[in-house]
Amino acid sequence: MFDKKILLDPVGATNPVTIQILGICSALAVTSRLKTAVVMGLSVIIVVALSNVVISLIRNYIPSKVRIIIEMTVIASLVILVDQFLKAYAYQLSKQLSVFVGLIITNCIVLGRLEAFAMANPPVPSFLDGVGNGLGYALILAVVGSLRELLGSGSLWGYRVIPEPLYAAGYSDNGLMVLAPGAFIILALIIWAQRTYTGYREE
Amino acid sequence: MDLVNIGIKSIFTENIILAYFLGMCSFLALSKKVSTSVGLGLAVVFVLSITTPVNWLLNEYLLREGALAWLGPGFAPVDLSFLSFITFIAVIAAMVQIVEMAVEKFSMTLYNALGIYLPLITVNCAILGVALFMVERGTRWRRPRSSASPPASVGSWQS
Repeated sequence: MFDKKILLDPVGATNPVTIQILGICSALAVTSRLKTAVVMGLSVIIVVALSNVVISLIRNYIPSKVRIIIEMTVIASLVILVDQFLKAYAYQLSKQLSVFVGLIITNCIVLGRLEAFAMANPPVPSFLDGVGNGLGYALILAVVGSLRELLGSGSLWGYRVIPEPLYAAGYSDNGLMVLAPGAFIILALIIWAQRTYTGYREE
Repeated sequence: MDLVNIGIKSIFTENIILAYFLGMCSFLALSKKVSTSVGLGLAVVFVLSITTPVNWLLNEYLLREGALAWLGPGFAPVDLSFLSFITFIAVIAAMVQIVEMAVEKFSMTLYNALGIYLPLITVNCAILGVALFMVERGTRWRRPRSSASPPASVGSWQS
């Protein structure tokens, strides 16, 4: 029942962000701070894993013509739960994430996993697949988020990391990293490094 | 004047792709050729300019806090805004389906041009994103159509 490959492959070898280039919108938009990136990653893990389980449980009863709408309904309900939870327990964070929690609904990773995996597999592997893909996404988000926060505002998780004397000596934060292009550049560097290391080629 | 302002703002300074990273997935996947990107751009403009006003009406008269006041004073404190995600996505999915059928019925040329892109639009973050931004910024009258234009400009840029 428990297959380690299903869980671990999406974290590295078939990572949804760097290999399949899915879910880029939110990966770029929420990563200017590490904290928002991690919270976003956790929310996606929960949504992908649970929606995979639900769809996998009812997969034999879904008529294929209306399956997209059914999948959207399941995802949207789960996202509402996550959103309400964040509003109740982390109001500041949910304000910072603004519409991007809602946009998990249209995150290609979630729908992609439902279509590609949950529709054809039993619940337990589907759950693992969901957690694995969520982890892969969260990992990339955390890396991009910490690099952008470190280089862009000299802090990590909101705490100052680069010491004051360095600023006095002429160091200054790289404003580009906080802006849109910084996210692109860092993500591209990660993709480049991973593909060089693994020798992955796009057909 | 305000309308012109909103139009210019949403095409250039607050372009949904360049400033908010919405609709990135399809943008990256389909911008290899001018013809496909123009097709997708047109389809997005088309769907956005229909779904955003519809979602705005739903939000204004059904979902937001106090929106149900028109039913009677007893309904004034009802706040259904937690249902907005599921309502918006249902509207978008349904609208895309209806638009697809209508286009197929009335204009085969347009259908052939947009055909394959229409179903993809349901899961385009840009569409839902615009609806959610509209709610978050508390847009009142005169705005619903505003965000229709950015994909057009982007659609023709990407080549």
